[in-house]
Amino acid sequence: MESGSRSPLRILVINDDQSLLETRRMLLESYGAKVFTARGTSEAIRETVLEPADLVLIDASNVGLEHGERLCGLVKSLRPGEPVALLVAPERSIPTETQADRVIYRTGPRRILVEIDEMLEGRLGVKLWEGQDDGENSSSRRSS
Amino acid sequence: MTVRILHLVDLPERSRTAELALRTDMSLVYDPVTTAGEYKQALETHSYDLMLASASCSSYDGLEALSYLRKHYPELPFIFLTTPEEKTVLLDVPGLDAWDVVSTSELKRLSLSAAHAIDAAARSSELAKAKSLLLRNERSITIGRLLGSIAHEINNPLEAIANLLYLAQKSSDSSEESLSKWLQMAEHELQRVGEITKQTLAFYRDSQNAQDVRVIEALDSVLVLYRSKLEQQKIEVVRQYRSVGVLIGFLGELRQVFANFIANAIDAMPNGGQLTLRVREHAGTNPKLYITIADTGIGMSREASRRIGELFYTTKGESGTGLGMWVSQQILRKYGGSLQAFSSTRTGSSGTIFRLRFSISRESGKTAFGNSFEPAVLQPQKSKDERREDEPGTEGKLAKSA
Repeated sequence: MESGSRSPLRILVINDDQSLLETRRMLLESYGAKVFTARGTSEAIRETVLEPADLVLIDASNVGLEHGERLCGLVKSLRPGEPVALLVAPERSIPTETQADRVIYRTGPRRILVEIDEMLEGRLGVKLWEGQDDGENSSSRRSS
Repeated sequence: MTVRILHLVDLPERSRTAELALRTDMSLVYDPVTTAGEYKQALETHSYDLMLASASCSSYDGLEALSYLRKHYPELPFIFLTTPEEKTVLLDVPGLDAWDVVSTSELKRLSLSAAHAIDAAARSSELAKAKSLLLRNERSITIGRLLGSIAHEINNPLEAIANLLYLAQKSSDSSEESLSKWLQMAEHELQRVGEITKQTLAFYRDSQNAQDVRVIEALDSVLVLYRSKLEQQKIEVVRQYRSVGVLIGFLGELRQVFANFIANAIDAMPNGGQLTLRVREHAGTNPKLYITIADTGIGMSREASRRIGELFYTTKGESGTGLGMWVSQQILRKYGGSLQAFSSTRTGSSGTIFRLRFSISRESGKTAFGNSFEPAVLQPQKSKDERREDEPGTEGKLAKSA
């Protein structure tokens, strides 16, 4: 799963659920990313200030959509060049005006990884097609 | 509108006089009865708007008739129709639960009094219906709020499991050690889901019969549902359970009360703090069970403290309904419980303490469901010394604010 060809990608994951934070970290690390995590606003700000990231992943489902948006704004004001992805539960409506570079539905690990990889221009090395059983959104991807 | 009136009467001429007096102002169906058997039979057979009775009938005393009515038909208005002498005696009866006592010399005002009694009973019935509707609405709101919280609580571990299974399936690290670690983590998350669903199912499973409810278990089950919110807001939970606290009642209702108090405490601590849950029993001649829910949140103003439990009063703006505390008070009253509130908004020592108090039967050591109502005692700001005595564990935080 690791791409391993370049310097490791640095991803900041912000989530208030410890298990989800931990498993998402493991998942991204399995693709060779260097992951640092933050729970809550103050940790998120500290981590943003301390180290630059190639991507900031904010889970709005856990911190709340409004709060997630505020965090997006904070990250953008502290690190204007860093891409920010806002993770949203599918049952939530996507904010019409968001400061995030992309809103990703939390529909499963593969979908999230594929979207993150797209944002990182394929540097994470998530294979879109790994076999015929990889069916997630396969038809739309194949046709595009 | 035609009204139906039942008259327990001793003498036939009194019956005729009363009927005539009533018919001057209202359209009515008038049923005179003379014995206890006829009286009870009539009440079972028809739906009445008003009950009339003489103070003393040869076969069935008017006071006994009133007592029977209050027990079985508490909403039905009751008017005594007596001699002037009987009226004097009746007016001295302590706690006489009748709408009016009309003597034979005051028959002209009988129809007016009867009309007022029927009107008041109808209004009271409408109020009771509205109250019941509000209780149901609040229940729906609480369920809605809980459903949101539950969906969130379930989605998180499910997604963690999906991540772990994905790792197990796709990761280049296929060592037995890693696989075992991921599967153990997934199992732990599944247990988390199981716990949430178990508590959720129990939360609103209505029971037809009152049962022994262990207060500490009810409190803990509410904590499970708010676990993520507590963690998210960095709220430390301190459980000081010095008694199991057994109440006879309905688990769902008690959980609803605890959920209201705990949710309010969480809302009061957006920037973290401490939530203390305490259960203790006080022995003595009148044993009591005390349940304390205390937070170190923003506190309430004097006005908010004074208006706790007032219908539609909320401190949460548009996000509040003003029903939660009102419903909690209604349920507490049903259990013969009372509520005390202490609050401070002073910077550095702010917070709120809610203390629920129930009387316990000395024989069973349990609080009886539906015992006599003890009015709620709301004391917005107690003195320093009083607080110390009441809340030995939290005096340091709030005593300064007195």
